[in-house]
Amino acid sequence: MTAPSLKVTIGGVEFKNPILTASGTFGYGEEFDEYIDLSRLGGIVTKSITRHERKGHPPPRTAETASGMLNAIGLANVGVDAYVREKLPFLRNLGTRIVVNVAGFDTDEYLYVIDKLNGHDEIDMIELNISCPNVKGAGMEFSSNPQIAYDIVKKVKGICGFPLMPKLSPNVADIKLIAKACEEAGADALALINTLYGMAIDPFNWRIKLTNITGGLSGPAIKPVAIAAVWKTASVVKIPIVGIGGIMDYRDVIEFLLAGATAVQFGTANFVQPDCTIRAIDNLTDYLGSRNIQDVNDLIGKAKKT
Amino acid sequence: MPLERFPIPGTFLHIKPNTTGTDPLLRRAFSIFDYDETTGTIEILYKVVGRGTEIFSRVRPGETLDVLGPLGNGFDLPLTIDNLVLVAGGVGIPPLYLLAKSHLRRGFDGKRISYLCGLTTVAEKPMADRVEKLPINLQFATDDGSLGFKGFVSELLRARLDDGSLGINPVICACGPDGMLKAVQTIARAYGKKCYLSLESIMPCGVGTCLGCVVKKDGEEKYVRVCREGPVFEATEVEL
Ligand SMILES: Cc1cc2nc3c(=O)[nH]c(=O)nc-3n(C[C@H](O)[C@H](O)[C@H](O)COP(=O)(O)OP(=O)(O)OC[C@H]3O[C@@H](n4cnc5c(N)ncnc54)[C@H](O)[C@@H]3O)c2cc1C
Ligand SMILES: Cc1cc2nc3c(=O)[nH]c(=O)nc-3n(C[C@H](O)[C@H](O)[C@H](O)COP(=O)(O)O)c2cc1C
Ligand code: FES
Repeated sequence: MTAPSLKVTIGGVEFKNPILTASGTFGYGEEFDEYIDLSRLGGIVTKSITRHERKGHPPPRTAETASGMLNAIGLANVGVDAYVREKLPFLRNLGTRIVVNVAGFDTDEYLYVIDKLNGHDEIDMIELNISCPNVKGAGMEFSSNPQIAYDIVKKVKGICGFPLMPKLSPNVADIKLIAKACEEAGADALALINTLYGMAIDPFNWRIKLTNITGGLSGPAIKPVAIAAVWKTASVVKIPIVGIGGIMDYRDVIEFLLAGATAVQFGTANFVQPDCTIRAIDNLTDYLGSRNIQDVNDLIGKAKKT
Repeated sequence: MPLERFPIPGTFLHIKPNTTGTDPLLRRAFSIFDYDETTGTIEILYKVVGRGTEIFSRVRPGETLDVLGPLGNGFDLPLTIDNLVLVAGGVGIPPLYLLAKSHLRRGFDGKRISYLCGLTTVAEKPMADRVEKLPINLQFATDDGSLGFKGFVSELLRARLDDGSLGINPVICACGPDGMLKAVQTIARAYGKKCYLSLESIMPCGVGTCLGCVVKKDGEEKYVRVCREGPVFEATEVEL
């Protein structure tokens, strides 16, 4: 028997397997170089970048919660110029797909950053962060209103030299409407979900745990929310979905694929186990082999109703 | 797995509180306390403060823990310094014990090492058992005066700097609660002494990717990662 195929195609880009790393949880890739063989990954999504360098919020920036964590990093990043100069060279020739996550405070900023990235052929795809919950004015409203989401995706798509994948927020009344708006505006794929709004207070000293007051909730606690979001979205769009939220191991990957995702991203799990992605690739391969499934694509959207 | 080489004092281990479940989820950071060169065994010394440390306290000999490390930048002190002054508060004891041991092992004269150990009360003295066995100048400070100097260990440092008993050009290394580090930082600045601080911070990843553990750089609108650029910083580098 031949080894099962793990290849998936998203926005015309072929990934060697459906396992990517989520933005903000994998730095610019280089931080993990000493822990894992980066070339084995389906892809790397780098930390959100903006027009200018951002220092981020004052600490404490994170707090652990039940099976999850809150973060309000505040989109700390080196800015697009330094990104191109200092971070992209490392990502070239890694043997994995490079997805660059772009954030912005207004339409102009998104367009500016994309324009600076255009022409850099080490980039395979753009993930458009229109869903950051912990920075005021940063994208969030872009993904909470279908018309606004449509406009921004349409404008970016008009100048973007790469396949475009908006990243959606779960903090909306109906994610299906936003997803459809993005598809109609020309998005090549959708990534979902970003973190959920959250807050935590110490019951003994009464202090709010994050300086920013609220933050984004991630980790296993949010997985059911993410699975439902993928399932609902998959029922209304034709473009591929990349599932994110609380994925810790290959079983979670399978769950997302069954719900309708074509690929997934590991976020918080990278903090817990630096080699979580590699283990998941190996275990997914074994799982498919042991069930005589030749192609990972055969799992997509195959969840059965009970 | 045994560690092959004597670890750099001040570096830390990131240890997973549970091996199967997801709550608690994240690793916990602990300074390397001791190292046995014949067996390659590493030890940590910790205080139970919450769920993670409570779980560690129930781990039995022979059980396996998931450990990442050694991580971070530790103390980088040449043997050519004149005098070494270690200022520890509570769970700040471990990295400074290892630092003293490492310097002794490399031939640094124990008479030139002072260890100022701050505790709340004499009941905590067992935490300093190993330190007591080192041939160095050890002094205690307790909040209630039940052992040694009465008052904060930072005040003991000030008193010893004033009476000159720490020798010429003392290099100060401190680890402990934020308030204590801040006091030591202020004193070192006032007395113009070289000073290193080993910081603590909530560390989700421990390897430099989440940007959660940052501390502000002194005089700059910039943050540095405690897990990667630290946890040991020169006192003039950071704003506490
Ligand atoms: C580099 C480094 C070295 C350390 N070395 C030691 C050591 O040698 N011995 C020792 O006993 N402790 C050490 N600590 C502190 C230790 O990491 C925390 O006590 C531990 O994470 C608490 O976990 P918990 O689940 O028991 O408590 P939690 O339930 O997570 O928290 C209990 C309390 O501790 C606070 N806390 C949580 N994590 C940290 C943290 N990383 N640093 C400071 N406060 C925290 C929380 O805000 C809360 O108030 C070190 C921390 C760092 C960053
Ligand atoms: C510390 C941290 C920083 C993050 N930074 C970003 C970011 O810069 N841009 C972004 O689009 N998502 C960011 N995210 C969200 C993740 O990419 C992901 O969508 C979310 O954490 C859910 O996945 P998880 O549960 O697997 O972590 C961040 C998440 C965490 C925990
Ligand atoms: S703990 Fe994640 S960057 Fe330091």
